[in-house]
Amino acid sequence: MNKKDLSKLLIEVKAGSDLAFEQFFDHYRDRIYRYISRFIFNTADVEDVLIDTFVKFHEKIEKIDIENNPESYLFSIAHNTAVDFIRRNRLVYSLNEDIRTDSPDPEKDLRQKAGALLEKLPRRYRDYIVLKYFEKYTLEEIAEIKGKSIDSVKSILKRARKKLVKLFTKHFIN
Amino acid sequence: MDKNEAKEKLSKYLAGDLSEAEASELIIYLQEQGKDPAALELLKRMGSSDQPLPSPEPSPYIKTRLQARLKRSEAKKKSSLFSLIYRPVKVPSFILIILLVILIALTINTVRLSTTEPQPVQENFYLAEESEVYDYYYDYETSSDDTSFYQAFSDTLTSN
Repeated sequence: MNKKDLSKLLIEVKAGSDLAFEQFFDHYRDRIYRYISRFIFNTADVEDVLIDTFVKFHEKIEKIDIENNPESYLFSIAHNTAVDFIRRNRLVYSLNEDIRTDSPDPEKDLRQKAGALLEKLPRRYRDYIVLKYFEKYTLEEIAEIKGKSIDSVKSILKRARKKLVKLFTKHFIN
Repeated sequence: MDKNEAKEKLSKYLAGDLSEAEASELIIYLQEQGKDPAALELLKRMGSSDQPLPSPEPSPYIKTRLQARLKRSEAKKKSSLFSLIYRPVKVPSFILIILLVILIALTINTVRLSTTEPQPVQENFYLAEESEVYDYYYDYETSSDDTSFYQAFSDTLTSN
């Protein structure tokens, strides 16, 4: 969906069209779900946070500036809702937790490890690490989602990478 | 490869600046350290340019759940009396609260003033001249009419 179509859709959502909001939800559902699943690894919780995100977006639709990157706003709501959820439920993952070799779901364990890694990083870098290394967005896409310039994103990723190297060095090499 | 070289290559690996051969060499070195295969797998996925981390799929009922939540949210808005008053006004709530407090204070003050009777103005005798007070009592005590009345009354008693 290009920017023009997205703007048209959101105008209809603002006018109160349920069908338009459903189309909006269908378009962003998987991306936001994957994004939230980087912070929370229980699938039921991820779904709850996903629903909360879209309900909040719907409630605030009148205040949203459609011309000014609404996608960034949606990701921002998703991030804040996920962080609130983690804080309320005191979810903590450990990078050093041993993964059982006979684990029935290695993919789930991998996601949990990723969650543990994010816990160790400063909050301001987490979003960028998720978008760049877990979701494989390009720099341009990340800049659009975060509402920043490409140079800003590069600079933030460089600083985030230093922290990552420190963590992995400590974990593997030292 | 030593530790410092591995650390430098790790940084380049995450930046995507290593060749395939160098990247493989680094991964083999880290594997030989024998620590945490899951974390190593995570690192490999992060370094790969086209392999996103695995992610679960949302359930097929998620849309139904969302629709139900939206309906509840709309119903809650409509039933709220406060929102019926507040929504047309579109004023920040803290300003409304301040106005309400002022209105209540004015109403109480108005009611209090309307129910209280006006008090008469009291003369303050202490402000009067001392001589005026003295004259008042002197005149009362030495009134000639009174003296003659008592004298007459007394004469009557003694003559009888």
